[in-house]
Amino acid sequence: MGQTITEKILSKASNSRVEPGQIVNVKVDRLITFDYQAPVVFSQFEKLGAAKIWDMDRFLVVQDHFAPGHNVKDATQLKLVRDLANKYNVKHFYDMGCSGIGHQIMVEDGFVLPGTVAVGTDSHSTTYGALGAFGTGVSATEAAVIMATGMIWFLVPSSVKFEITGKLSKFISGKDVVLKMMGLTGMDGIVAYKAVEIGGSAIRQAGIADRLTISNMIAEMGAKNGIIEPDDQTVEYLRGRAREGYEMITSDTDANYDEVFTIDASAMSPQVSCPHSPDNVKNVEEVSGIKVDQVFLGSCTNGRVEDLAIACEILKGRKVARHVRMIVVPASYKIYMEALRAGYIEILAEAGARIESPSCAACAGMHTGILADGEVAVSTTNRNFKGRMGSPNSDVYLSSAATAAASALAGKIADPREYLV
Amino acid sequence: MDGIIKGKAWVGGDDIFAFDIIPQKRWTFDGLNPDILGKWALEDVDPEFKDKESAMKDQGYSIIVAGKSFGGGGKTIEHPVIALKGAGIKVVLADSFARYNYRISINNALPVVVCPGLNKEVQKGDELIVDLNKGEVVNLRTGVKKHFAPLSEFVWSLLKAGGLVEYTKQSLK
Repeated sequence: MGQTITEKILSKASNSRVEPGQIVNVKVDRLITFDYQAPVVFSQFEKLGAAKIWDMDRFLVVQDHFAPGHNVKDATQLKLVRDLANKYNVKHFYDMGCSGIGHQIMVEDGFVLPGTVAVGTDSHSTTYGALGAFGTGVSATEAAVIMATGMIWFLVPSSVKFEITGKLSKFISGKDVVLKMMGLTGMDGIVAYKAVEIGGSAIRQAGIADRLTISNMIAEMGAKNGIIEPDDQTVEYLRGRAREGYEMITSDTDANYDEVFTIDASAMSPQVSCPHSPDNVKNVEEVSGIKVDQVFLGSCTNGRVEDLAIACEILKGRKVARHVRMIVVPASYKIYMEALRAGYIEILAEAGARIESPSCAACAGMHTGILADGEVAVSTTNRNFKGRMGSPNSDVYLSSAATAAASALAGKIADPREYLV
Repeated sequence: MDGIIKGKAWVGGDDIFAFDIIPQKRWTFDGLNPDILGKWALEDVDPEFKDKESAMKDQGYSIIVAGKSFGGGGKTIEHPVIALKGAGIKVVLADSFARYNYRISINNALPVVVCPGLNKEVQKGDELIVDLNKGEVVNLRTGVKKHFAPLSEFVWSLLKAGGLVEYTKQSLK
């Protein structure tokens, strides 16, 4: 019996041949922690009595959730993290001015490589699977143990496979695919605690941005990781970024999967996840016409330059509806600069969108676009739990960048197929 | 940790989320203090605990029996497990666990047991005996007995050490 890509990576990292159900100790290639967790991570690390952080080249601290400080409590936490990073001489400390969302930095700065184990103290660390890495979230205590030893235990998950057939298009992006998957599996549903492997013709065709979006939202399914086999596109993306050599690990053809699901991307409508759960997914036709107060384009799910580009295609030379507040937050400074050079920032600003500096922003309801009572938002983020983006009496609809831009223009949830040619 | 836990059971249903176990407004970010967090365990789930400091602990519960996906909501935060420990919980049995809750419980030396259907056999307040060595739970009120897979050797070593931090400390010596 062959092995899946997840089993192969965990075998390599544990120096053994693993089977699903086994608990193994694995070597970690990359660890990231964030402003909202770092103080607990460091205080747990201090309890362990380790002489030093195991490998400074493999450890990142990123200020993204609270930055820039919007109240004294957040500012105090950011200062605490800054002081800790300085105290320990953290080499890869991303603070204001060079930062962005940690998950994006992990990927675009070449920290995540195929065949490696990359973990973070945030559940959307599943994002790293898009480059063929084993990526998953760990707790603050686990991060502290990795800082001390470079190792952590994992239960080897069994795998399920999603074959995405057909093709993606301007209207059907990675976000639509993953929302469709979510509707099928449910949140913490049938793929909970399993490895989810995503392949098929639409995935091979999909660019890295779409793949990142898909692996990112595997987290909402309650799965352990969401992995895509690396290919020529992965190699191309990593050219000039990869911080070291890597191995192209893929699944054996006779690997075992608990289940295989097939979705035809060519036969899909744009998908929208309705309040108050990511798995409450509908075709855009079913919800179009709902009046919108705010449109948020950003986050580790959909704040990449490709997302800004498609929004520009819809908004160029037009204005967002008068009653809509559109907020655009590029996921990193690199993306911000790329969008600036490509003219996207200007197009979006002229369309009446408000452009904010890279951070997690409104996604988790911390700052930069919090919703008031009774307000409705279309958001390209990954979660729409009650109160996630502000008031518990607000409604959040999750969508692709194209659907979000079309909705901003129309002032109500709108089908991007009516605004794109 | 001799592996036998006798105590009073609190019973819950499916999909009790991390946020339900400890409401976000009760989180502390500067540390994980079981005495503080334990005061508010499950206050948003059980009306008897709502806004009543240490209600779960004062009522003497030490076992949780729940349905599917206990502790879900995709949170890497450890506050829910620490809150349960602070409230005096010694073991959680459920149809299934969300991944983070499962890992974080083991890391904090709180045994977690997958035992599907048990919450249909137990009423709130029943006395149970959970034997982690034998993989058996008995309801002393009804006499109903159920079996579950015994814990793996690695999980035992973490529980015996007192959790992942203690285990790592010992291994670093």
